[in-house]
Amino acid sequence: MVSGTCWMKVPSAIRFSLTGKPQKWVGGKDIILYIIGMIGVDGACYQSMEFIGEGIKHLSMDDRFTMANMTVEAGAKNGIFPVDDVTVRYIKQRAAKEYAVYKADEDAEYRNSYHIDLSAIRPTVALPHLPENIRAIDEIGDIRIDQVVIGSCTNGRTEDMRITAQILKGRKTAKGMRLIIIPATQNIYLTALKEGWIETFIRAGAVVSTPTCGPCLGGHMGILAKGEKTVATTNRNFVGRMGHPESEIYLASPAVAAATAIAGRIVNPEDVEGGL
Amino acid sequence: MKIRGTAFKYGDNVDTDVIIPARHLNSSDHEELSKHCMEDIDKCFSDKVKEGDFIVAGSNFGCGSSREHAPIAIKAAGISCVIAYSFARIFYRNAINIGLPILECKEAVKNIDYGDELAVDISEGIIKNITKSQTYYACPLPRFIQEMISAGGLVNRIKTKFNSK
Repeated sequence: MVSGTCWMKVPSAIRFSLTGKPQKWVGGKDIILYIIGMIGVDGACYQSMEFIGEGIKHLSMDDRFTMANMTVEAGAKNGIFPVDDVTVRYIKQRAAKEYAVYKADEDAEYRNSYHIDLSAIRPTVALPHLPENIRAIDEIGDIRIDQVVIGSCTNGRTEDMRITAQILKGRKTAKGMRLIIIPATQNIYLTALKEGWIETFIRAGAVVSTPTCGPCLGGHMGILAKGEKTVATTNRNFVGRMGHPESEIYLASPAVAAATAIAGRIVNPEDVEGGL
Repeated sequence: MKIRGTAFKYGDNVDTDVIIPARHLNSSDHEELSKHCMEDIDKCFSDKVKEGDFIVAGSNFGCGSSREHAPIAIKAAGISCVIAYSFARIFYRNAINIGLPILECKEAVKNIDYGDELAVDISEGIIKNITKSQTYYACPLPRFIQEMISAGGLVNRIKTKFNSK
């Protein structure tokens, strides 16, 4: 800002063509974990990840933000979506100034192109200690969990809070479970308060924090002890990230995380819905 | 800029949480950070590392959190250059912006072992392995980036520029 210039290494691009409609309880987090599992944590090293295709119309802005946020976990410089009706509705509520729409060139070159059928993606979990280490929820087995964290820049948005409330409503966390819910911003916190979600969280046995990075990087509020396991909606699960180097982090969506808090082990939200 | 030192070799995906664990981020003192550099993957690193030594690693070095403390800790520990197969994007920018030299070189990473003696010409991208009598060639960073690194990073370069006006 001081000099008026900024150095930049121009990234090459990878294109992901998304088709189909995601299953119930599958959102941006599951899709991006699935993609990172497919290309690896350095699969897009210093590249731009572009998401296109008719499938994106099923993705809310919050889903798209989660996906763009986590492209970094594939080594990418950025993750971008074309502007569509969903984007325009979002911008119109927020933009104080005139905005411009930029599109990829018709003849843009891509280093790689992938096709992804969103309807085939199951709720997805990344096992310790890399975000690429993914399993579909159906292949998880019996993994007991000590703590669930729902929040962060990756999944602390309004829709994440709504889904969490939907699953927690009228239910209680498992015995011994620590459930920590952290709305990502003061505005999201206020929305959760007005909608009654905060009360739902607390009645279910959660603690609710003011917006903070907190446990995501082992900062405070939910630091893991030796041997403890957490399901977190955060972005990375490296060794020692959330506390003791011998603790374990499982990355998942708010839906899977909330269901896990009820069950005490990693489960499909459908299982909680159907009664455990 | 030719430098001689010992190689500390690591694998792929060395993340910023192991380069400098978050439990030590309550300090921004460079010396203090350097004491804990790499401690979760190599407990002996800070005791063994000497001024001028090198870190040699696989792909995606510096992945994870965008913490400039990571390249700062490495630099403060005395490391003169990180040589990797590839760097994660945020670390790549942070390293250059705080003035830590980096080189990408597949051949070097393939052949260098922990403890090898190296002599590196950072500005030309020439990596000599004295222990194994081999030479590897990395694509050197562009001149203006090298100037920024030599100036001690982006902020220092801008300060120098404005002061000289």
